[in-house]
Amino acid sequence: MTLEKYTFLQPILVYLGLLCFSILSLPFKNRGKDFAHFVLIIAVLLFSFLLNQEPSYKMTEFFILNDYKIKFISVLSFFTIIIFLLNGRAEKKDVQNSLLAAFMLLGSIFLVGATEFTTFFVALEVISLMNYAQVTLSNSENAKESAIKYFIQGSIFSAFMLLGISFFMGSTGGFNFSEFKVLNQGLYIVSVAILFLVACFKMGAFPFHAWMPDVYSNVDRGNLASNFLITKLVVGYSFLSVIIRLINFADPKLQEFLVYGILVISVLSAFYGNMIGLAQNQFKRIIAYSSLAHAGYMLMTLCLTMEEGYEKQLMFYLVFYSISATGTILLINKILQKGPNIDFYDSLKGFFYRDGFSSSLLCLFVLSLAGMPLTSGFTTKYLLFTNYFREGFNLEATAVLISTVIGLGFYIKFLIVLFMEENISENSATNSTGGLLLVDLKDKLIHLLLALLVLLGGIAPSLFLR
Amino acid sequence: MDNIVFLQFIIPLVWAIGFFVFPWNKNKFKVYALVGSFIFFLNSLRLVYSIPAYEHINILIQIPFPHFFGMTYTIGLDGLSSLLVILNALLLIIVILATWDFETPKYKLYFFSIYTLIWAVNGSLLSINLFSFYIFWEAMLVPLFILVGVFGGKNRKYASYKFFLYTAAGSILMLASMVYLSALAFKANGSYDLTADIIKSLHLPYGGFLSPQSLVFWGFCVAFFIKVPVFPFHSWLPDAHVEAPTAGSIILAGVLLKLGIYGLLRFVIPVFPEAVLANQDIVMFLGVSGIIYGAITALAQTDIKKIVAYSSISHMGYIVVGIFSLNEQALAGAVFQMVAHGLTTGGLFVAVNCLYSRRHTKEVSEYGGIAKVMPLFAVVFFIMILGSMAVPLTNGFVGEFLIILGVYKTSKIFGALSAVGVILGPLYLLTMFQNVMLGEIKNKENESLKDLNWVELTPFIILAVIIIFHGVYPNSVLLMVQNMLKGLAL
Repeated sequence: MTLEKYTFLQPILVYLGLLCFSILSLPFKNRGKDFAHFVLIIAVLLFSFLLNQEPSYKMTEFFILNDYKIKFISVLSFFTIIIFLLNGRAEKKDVQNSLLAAFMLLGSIFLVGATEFTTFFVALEVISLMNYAQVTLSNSENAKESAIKYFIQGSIFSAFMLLGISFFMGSTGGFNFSEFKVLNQGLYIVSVAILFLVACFKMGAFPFHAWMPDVYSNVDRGNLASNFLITKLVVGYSFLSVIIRLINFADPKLQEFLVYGILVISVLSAFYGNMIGLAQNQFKRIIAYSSLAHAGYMLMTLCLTMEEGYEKQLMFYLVFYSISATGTILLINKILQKGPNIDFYDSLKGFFYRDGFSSSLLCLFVLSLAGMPLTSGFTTKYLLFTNYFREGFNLEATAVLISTVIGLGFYIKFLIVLFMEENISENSATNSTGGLLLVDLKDKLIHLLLALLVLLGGIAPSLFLR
Repeated sequence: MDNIVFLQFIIPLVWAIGFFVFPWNKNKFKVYALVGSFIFFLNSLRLVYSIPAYEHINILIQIPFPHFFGMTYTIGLDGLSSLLVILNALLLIIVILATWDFETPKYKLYFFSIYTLIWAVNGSLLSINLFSFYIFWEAMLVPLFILVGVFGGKNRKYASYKFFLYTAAGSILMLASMVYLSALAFKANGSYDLTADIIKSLHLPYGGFLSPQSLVFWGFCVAFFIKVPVFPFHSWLPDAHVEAPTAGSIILAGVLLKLGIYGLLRFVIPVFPEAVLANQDIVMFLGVSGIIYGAITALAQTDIKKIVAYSSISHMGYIVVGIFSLNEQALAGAVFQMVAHGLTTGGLFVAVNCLYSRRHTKEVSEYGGIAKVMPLFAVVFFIMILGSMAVPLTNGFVGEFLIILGVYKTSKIFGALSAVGVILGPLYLLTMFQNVMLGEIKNKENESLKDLNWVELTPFIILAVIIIFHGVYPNSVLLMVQNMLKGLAL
């Protein structure tokens, strides 16, 4: 490498160094560290948003980062650091957790920047291995069983992914998915279909969702948020944007078959997630089924054409959905951490009357997940569904929208236990702490920031869409 | 003018936030709430009487929201929305006065929910844009959900859950229609903005039930029908009314149900002409079914609040039939009946609250001969019942008479069936009055009941004066809407 190339790489190296430092230093306790982390967070954000690199960083042919992708990675890093600030030290396995998250983040960076399937596959496997490890590290009784289940299913789908990639190579003559020419349409459409099924597994869409409720309910609470964020936000975004691209290169006649398949899986995921979520009592399982339903809403994006920045809108959906879900998970973690660690609705009984601030924030996040107006959950859905109607998927979009009503059933349960239970139960978090949930200024600020983002996404979405 | 509009929009919200900001005790908050309600009411009057014309929408303010898909929040008023804006503000005063002695340790949340609910209703009435209408429409759900679920009766959780799911299900259909229209509007105009005029300009094709205009029409209709509620989408209402605290019941019956009708008049009747005509008979049939079903079911009830709740279903049936008859007189009668029902049913719920706060039961059989110990209450309660059963010289008569007259001109069968409600109404209302108020005192606990005090009497006096004034001089309402309604009639 010449000196010029190192200079070219410099921003990314600085960027990665900053991230690694901020995450790896988290477990070490000393005064003023929280302040240092806040400075780091701001530095990461400022650095990435001040960068305006056009056209792109081209490290090699297989890894290209443009300004847009760097911003995406920054947002992701930002939230990963926040999660660790809030949860990292609550666990005994701080160092392991930090390392796992750092590797997941690195995998994510490569996944987002990948332009061809070998890098994409390796980055995805790095993330998946860290995911498996996170589950095994848990103290939960069923953790090992879940981890093995997850690992076996993950390995099968990795094998399928390799098959899809090899078909892709056979039909295009290369691994590059940003610039290619289809030589054999039949083989190509099979490869896209296989890759789509792998994406369904990774995003936990119906009927490949079986791993998700188990993993979510068994992973340590300190790891749940980062696990969720990476698997949903990064893998979801990267996979969907790649498949959107691939589908658009398919022959229109064959494309139609694929679109029907996607529509069926989307609608089924939305209905299944919302309906099974109704029967759940555990928070983490509710989050799992809620994310299954959301995967259904998002998968329909694959049926849209490449016009008019749909990809950007998909990312907007994913980012704001992740913010609401992360906020919910973080607050629930706090409740479980301070209470008797019972993961049921009961822990929230009458909570509003002991800690109005935290309960209001939790309400906001849950209402956003439910898609109520004035929250980001509504605008993201509005945008996505307008696109579906614009492209003529009227019936399917209406069906998926109707499924959201079923989902409301379990989101509303949060409100019922928070506000309407007169007697605080023996299991309630409030009994064991006897006080407020968010005591530290740091905790309050971070949760407020997430809440503000949810509101801003609901009131002024165009600020972010630009 | 801008200041008045701004104040109208912001007062309930600012007042609501105040309940969590000021470190006052319950009594101070009661006064604070009452002062706020009077300021809000006076500002509403100022606003309504300062608009230049009632026959068309007066655009008062346009606030651009460039960061919200380039939309504009347009505040406007015409005769119809003006009436409901005043009704909404008036009912806030009634609610605060009628529940002055309501005991709850969570009084901050209680007042906060009332004010945010009133704010959301007010916001949707001022909205010209369908999108902002929808946002406020949805925003009503949460405070009412809390009002019913936290401050309601024994089965409050079930009732609030059911209410929330029913209305949210309707909202989703409206959202689906709205998103579809937005997509079309964006294609046509490059903007997501949706007003009644923009939707009309999209010229949705009509050609049978599965055509776009028909599907969008039913999407909106079902959402509004659930809110009204129209038979058979009504089953949430009796539960919600019975379990809701008095404040919730008054606002629910007074203005919230009217928003369904308002939505039909604003975003359905003038916008989807072919679909309205094609489905006119179906909707009128549903309306008439509601009139008869509500009245017969009310006859079978033993709970006073349930009787009032089912009477609401019957009365709202009149309004739906009146609107879909597309006759000028029936339309005017329907709008008049909206206001009349808001006042009389609000009054009936206040009356139920007076009984409940003394005896903590709503069972008719627990009462009897109450007029002997509460003569003042008997008089005002009877005035409310007279209004509700549409006796001449009360507002109820004007509304129902105009509706039946207009409906009869459109369809003799539906006109005749609507008139059945006029017979059934007095039957269940007078039977209830007889069993509760007249005869000998059967229950010893009722012998020591105290009559109304001044605070309790005030809302009745306000309501009774308006009920009779509107009954004697109906033009005070009709003049505000008749020109506007001409455009909707066939």
